[in-house]
Amino acid sequence: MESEDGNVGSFTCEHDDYFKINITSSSGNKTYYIEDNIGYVSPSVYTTFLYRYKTSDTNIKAKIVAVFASGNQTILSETSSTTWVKGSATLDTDKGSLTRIRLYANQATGQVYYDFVLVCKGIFTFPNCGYGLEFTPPARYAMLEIPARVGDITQNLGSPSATVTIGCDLDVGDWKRSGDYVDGEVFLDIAHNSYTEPWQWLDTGTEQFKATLDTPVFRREADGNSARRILELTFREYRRSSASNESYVERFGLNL
Amino acid sequence: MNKAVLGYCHLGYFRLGVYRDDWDKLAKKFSSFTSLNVTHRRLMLGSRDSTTGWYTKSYEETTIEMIIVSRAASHMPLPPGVYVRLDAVGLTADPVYEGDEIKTASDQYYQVETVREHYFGDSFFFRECDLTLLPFKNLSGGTYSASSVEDARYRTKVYLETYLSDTALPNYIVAYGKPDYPMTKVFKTKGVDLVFSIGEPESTPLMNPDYTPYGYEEHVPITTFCIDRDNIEGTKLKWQAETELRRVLEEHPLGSVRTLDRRRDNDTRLGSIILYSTEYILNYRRGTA
Repeated sequence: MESEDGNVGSFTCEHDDYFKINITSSSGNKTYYIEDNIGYVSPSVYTTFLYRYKTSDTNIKAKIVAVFASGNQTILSETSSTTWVKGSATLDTDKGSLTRIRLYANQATGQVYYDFVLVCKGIFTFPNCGYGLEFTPPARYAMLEIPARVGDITQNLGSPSATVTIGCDLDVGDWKRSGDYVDGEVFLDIAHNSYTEPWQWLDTGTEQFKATLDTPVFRREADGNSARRILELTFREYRRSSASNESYVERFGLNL
Repeated sequence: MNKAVLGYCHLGYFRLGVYRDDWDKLAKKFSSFTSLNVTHRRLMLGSRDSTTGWYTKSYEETTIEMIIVSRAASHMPLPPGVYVRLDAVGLTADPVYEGDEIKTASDQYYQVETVREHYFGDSFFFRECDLTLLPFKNLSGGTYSASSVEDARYRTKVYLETYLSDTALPNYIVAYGKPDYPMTKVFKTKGVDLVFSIGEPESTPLMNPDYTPYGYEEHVPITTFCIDRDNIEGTKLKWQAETELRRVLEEHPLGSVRTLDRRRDNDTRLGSIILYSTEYILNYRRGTA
């Protein structure tokens, strides 16, 4: 559903990937929003709200409001940024269930882009990456072997999805969420529920992007007088459309 | 006879009939230079400190006679066999013990390190006390709040106190390093049979790929101390302490993951007694908090 109060425009889904609100005229209260009913989400269970947006210029303003059963919460106050910005907020727990989310485009003509809004149980911060982290944005060069040719023919087939592998030291730090039974249980949760959760937001400290968890491996090593519990994780870049619509900085979230 | 009665009252164990007035002669010789009256601060051990595990110190003050000869004045004619070994030597007929303090009239503080009793035949002559100067006594500084990051020794102390069995080891304590008073005082006055002493750790940071440490690997020395008693063979008690330490580590390795690395025998003969001691190195890894 869309609501226009002075700002007039339309919203579309660009590249089957992110929302674009295009404001073509602006007057009066200069307000426009779209909202969607998301059922009844308990903010006590789903405590955290993440978003990513950008604006075409600094005159038009993005704004996000969470609508509860009895009251609203402004997640993002009116602001603008011509580069992608990621932010988060903790949902209020005294207003009942979260029922709707409103995405605004206010104050001027122009475009506001919303890459995602994500309501989730929380942000899990890795206590450590003690056994290393590898970020691999591979190239896809085909090596075509031709009979009798000296050397191959190469053809660049584009950039495949990036991967991140992380080695975690489960023996140091708090690897349990409240109520967890085992260290690193959050990754069992993600793997088990991956059929309903298409992606997670991964922040390596240097790169940030949507990712799927490929292979969590819980290793228990023993060698003579020492023992180690290691968690090896492989994340793979997730996207609905070609990353050619973005710069490499936007794709890998290098400026977030 | 007056001397004999005075000696009995003064020394506590002087035997009538064998008293000699050598101390009086010695004291008289030195009293012509200076007053011999000093404040004897007798060390008393109170309750255990909740952090270090050692007994808190207090002092009971009395006035005694002591001849104090500092290293700089060692040309003074001392009795045969008496030397200034440390900062000063103190000669007295009064009971003084290791760990006690001596305060002079000019507010200099000394700590009694060793006490040797001099006899002529079976008659007591005087006590020779090696003294070290306490230059920072009564200095005060700023007020600091305790760090929120727990000391490796404290973590290990809590771990051991949680799991060591009072049944297997009835009279033990767990405490930091060595106390700043003689260990013999603990065995003699506090009814302690066994001490688990946790020394300073060696720490190595555990690094994240972004160059930040996420924790530390620490090697904590734990040393057991015990002595022979009428009904205790120290060497057996030492082994009992080790088996108990092994049991704790076998049954409770998790939390901060702990492993016993090595043991080293550390028995020390102190004159007629043996201080039974073994050092163990406990490895564990912890987070930064």
